[in-house]
Amino acid sequence: MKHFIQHIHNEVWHKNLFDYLLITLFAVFFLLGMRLFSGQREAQFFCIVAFTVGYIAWGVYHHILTRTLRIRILVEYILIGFAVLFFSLTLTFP
Amino acid sequence: MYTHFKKTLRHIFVPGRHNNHQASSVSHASLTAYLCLAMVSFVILRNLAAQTGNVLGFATDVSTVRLMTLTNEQRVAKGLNALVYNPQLAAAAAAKAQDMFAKGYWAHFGPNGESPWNFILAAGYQYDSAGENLAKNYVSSNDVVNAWMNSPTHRDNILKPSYEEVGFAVVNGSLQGEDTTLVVQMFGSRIGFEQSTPNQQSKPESSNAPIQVAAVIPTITPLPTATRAPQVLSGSYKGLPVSTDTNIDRSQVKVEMTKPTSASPSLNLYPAFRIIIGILIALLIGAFVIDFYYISKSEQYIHRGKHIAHLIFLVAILIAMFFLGRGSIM
Repeated sequence: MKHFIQHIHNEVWHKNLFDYLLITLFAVFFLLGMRLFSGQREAQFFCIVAFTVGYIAWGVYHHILTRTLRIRILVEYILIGFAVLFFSLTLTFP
Repeated sequence: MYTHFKKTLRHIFVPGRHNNHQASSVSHASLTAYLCLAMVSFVILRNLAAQTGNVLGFATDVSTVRLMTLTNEQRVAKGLNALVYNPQLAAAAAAKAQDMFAKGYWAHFGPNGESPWNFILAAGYQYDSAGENLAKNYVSSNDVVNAWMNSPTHRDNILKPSYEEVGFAVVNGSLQGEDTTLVVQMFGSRIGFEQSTPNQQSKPESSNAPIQVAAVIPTITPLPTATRAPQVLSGSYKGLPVSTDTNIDRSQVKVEMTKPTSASPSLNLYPAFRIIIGILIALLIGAFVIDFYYISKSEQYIHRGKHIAHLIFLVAILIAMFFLGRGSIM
């Protein structure tokens, strides 16, 4: 567990604080939007799409900066993003 | 057997040499399976909605019978009289819903000053006191009544002792370009009704908007045809006590305690889909946490996406699921 905490601390605090603040900010605005547009299906879906696109864009931006961008990494972000997008679509428009 | 099971679990969740330092639960193959599952669940729910006649592409399990039952359950639980279904109030509620679709507004008052009382009077209901609750985009009758009961102003309408009658309209249509299910609930007590409270005469109650009584009975002109004609979902009131005149036999009023028959199988599946999708996302979060833990422990970093970013994204989506499928009230 010590390694785990230490790794998170290094990764977030010492290496990529701005990047993680950025994606956390995306998440906060996303949740605020979802709360604000409660009952408005299309607006909520727009929030989900925007957050998913932001998440994938964050992945590209972060891995370009750290010079670790690979196709398989991009595919990982896209697969997670689109899987969640379709799950959300199912629940948004029953 | 046990060793084999343990080995399989290890392969699925724990990254190491055996799985190229990536747990197979978060490998590309698994994530692709997740994506396929998401697409299949979306297609299944959409097809079921289409098969059950929800031509606008959305489904709702809101019914007037159930709304009436739940409303009266709340009143009876507080020792109040059960409300009697009144077709004139239902007609007023339906006219209000149609008007909102036709003119594209979501409020107690229309863009040209149309008040709920205009619709009630135009339907031929001479009220002593009246009120209106609105809801949109809820998936079930229970959600609608729960939302109203959680709002002080709407709860006051439901639990107002002076009300004797009620009418509902559940209408599907396109509101401001969005497929919407509107629920209109109109309460009333007629002039001269025995149990009306004298000090509440001529004071219609509307949640969020107390107003003055309209002095003139308006006439409702035919509404312009909407791009998509609103579809009244619940027009049958069989089994409900119906008021036809002011002499209501209150002994006939019963609160129906049986579960409503489902009009839409897709709606029965919706709560199940919600739980299953929540579990799947939670499992994915768990898989990433375990994978992240073992990777940080072994320090075998390969070219991978950032676990922390994935977790922030997935946790935010899981929290957001609480806001999905919920409607709003007015």
